[in-house]
Amino acid sequence: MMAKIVVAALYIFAILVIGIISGRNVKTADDFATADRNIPFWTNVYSMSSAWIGAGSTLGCASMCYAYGIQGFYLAISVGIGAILASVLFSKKVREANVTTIPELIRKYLGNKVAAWISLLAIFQIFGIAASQIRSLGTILQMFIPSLNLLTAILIMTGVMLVYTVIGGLVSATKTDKLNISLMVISVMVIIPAISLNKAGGLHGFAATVDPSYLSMKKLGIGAMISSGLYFCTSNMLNSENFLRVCGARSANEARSASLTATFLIYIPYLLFASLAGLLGLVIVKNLGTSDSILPAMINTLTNDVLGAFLLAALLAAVMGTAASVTMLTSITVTRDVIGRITHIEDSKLLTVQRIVMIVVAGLGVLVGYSGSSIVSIMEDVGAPCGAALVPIFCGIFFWREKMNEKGTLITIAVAVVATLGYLAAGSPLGISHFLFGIICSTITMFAANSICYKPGVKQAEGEQ
Amino acid sequence: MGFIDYLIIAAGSGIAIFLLFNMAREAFSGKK
Repeated sequence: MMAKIVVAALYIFAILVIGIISGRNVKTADDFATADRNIPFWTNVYSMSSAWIGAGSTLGCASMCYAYGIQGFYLAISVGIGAILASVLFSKKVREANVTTIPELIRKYLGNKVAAWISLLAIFQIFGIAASQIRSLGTILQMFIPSLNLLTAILIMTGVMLVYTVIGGLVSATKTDKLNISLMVISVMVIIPAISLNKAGGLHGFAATVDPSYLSMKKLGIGAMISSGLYFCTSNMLNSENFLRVCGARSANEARSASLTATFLIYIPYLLFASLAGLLGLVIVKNLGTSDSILPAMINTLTNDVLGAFLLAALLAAVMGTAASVTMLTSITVTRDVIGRITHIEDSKLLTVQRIVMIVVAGLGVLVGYSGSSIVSIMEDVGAPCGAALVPIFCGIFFWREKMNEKGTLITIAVAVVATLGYLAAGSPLGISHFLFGIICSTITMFAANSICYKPGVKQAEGEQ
Repeated sequence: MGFIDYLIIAAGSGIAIFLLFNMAREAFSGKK
């Protein structure tokens, strides 16, 4: 118990020191939002990985393999493919556009009206992710100190996150991410596999003791697996957590290669290792009520206090990187694409406004996150139309720009929203997720509507600011 | 524990050592 409190305190102290020291030189709004577009290559690789990997990916991959056996690896694989596609298709082109937020990118190519609708959807979606990560920060701190109530735990961790991100923005975030990713990699890719392989008697020992049904591909229906895999793959293509880091890279080529390096060197191996841990959990922790808590349960069963506390700190680090990243993206989007469009903010005031909005967004995140996991999941459901609209529109403006036009895109957004929410309200009758249904409808609409509304010779909004 | 198990552990440790080494190199070379 004591060891856990000490380790949690040490982690918080270290994150604050690194964040405050590295962020004290942030003087302009661009420093804050994009680290002056000068993030070194490897710093960005670590930072992208840390932003990508949150509680969802760590606990989710382990939980899938614990629930479905080797078939559960599909989650890691499909999320990984999504990240590869995002890196290859989008990262270079996003950086080339020289923007800071998703709506700014859309405004550049499709004009103000489309950008206004996208802002609305995007803010809802990224705020939903921020609220759920803020809640996770609290629930993981509770694993260190079970006597702490959830609200206090959430407030403490959100306070810590705010101190260094409000001071140093993306500069502090990328520096603290080095600590975060080190903790995560050492725990999930070294300590947990070594201990759990040893305990399970290696893969052979595991195969001999586990219920053979977990080694078959029949636990989860193939259709359900493909549908869910497609969902995670496409929704991960958007990668809003990484948007600011792609924008902060030194050049477009570096943005793409950093994103690819992070994906292949850290992200995918990390997800596979987390999945492996869940799989080995089948013979180590039997009959756990809910598969979601397999990783914390294994940490409790397999390790002593000090090592267990270190592994829990890695979980906290995984959430911290993502929470800081999405909270920052939400507030920067609100500042630049809502407040900045309504009233003109002078450059000298922009930094202050961004900082204040960040505090307000985090405060709202605490409220929504605390009011219940069900509300968080509702927000994520409502955020789905944004992804369903944005994935085809991103593909459109980058690879089919000639034909993309304002009217066609507005129709695409409307179809994405109506199809996604309508299908959800109808109780998802086709057996695929509402996001997947929405994205199929919006992709077809994007091609059809943009072709029909396309008028040759009419200049699009490119270059308009 | 067989060959494949050690291989898995070696792969994870390899990546971790590479990352830490790289971070240390960056920090000491004074690159910003």
